[in-house]
Amino acid sequence: MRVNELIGAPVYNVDGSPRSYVIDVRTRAEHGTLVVDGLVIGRHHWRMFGYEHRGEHGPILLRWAVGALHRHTRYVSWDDIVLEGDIVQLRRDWEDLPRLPGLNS
Amino acid sequence: MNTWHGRESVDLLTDLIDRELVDPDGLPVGRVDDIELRRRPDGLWEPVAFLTGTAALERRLPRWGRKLINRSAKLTGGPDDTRRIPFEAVTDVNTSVSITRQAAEAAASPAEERIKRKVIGRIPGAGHASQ
Repeated sequence: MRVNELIGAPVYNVDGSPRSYVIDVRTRAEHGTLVVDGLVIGRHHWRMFGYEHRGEHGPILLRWAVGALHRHTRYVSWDDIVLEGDIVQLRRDWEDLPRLPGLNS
Repeated sequence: MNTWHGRESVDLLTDLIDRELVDPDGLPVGRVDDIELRRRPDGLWEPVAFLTGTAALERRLPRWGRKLINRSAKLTGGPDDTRRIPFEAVTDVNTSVSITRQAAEAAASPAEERIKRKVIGRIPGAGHASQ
């Protein structure tokens, strides 16, 4: 599988309603390699620019714009999704998914 | 602490895709156009290779973008095949991705070489740029 197949893929909520798109693929380091940990999903295709996880603070206007654009963006663990062809099916309700920390801090 | 080139967490699109690939001398040899994922025996997925080349880039482009790339590529002898750089070849990750010399040679764009040979090389004085 390729990352470009996942980026932009539609995400369906537990009730089958189309809910969002895959914005990014988050990995964690494990014994010197990377392992896919989950997906960043949101209601549009805008990229994150790294503001959500690197403690970036400026330029302040760009940070504010990214925060506003991604106010509905969520993180879903890999265990909470099912891949069905080129779509992503949530196993956990969208409303229960955590927001990305740091976007509006 | 579990880290990969100093990072505990990496977002593949934000942190790696579109980054420049550079050789040990810091010279650019390509760009990360896509990343290959492989499923491990325990069911988890891991990124295993960077993919570079117009064929790898095409998946992310709109139709008009693909047409433009393909028409441009025809001028230089056709689109490049996808080149694969295994993650083991990565030596450093910052604003660019540093890779080993062997991987850099494998990642070099055939189209760029053709342009150098057929276009730039025919410009009078092209072989004496430093003089």
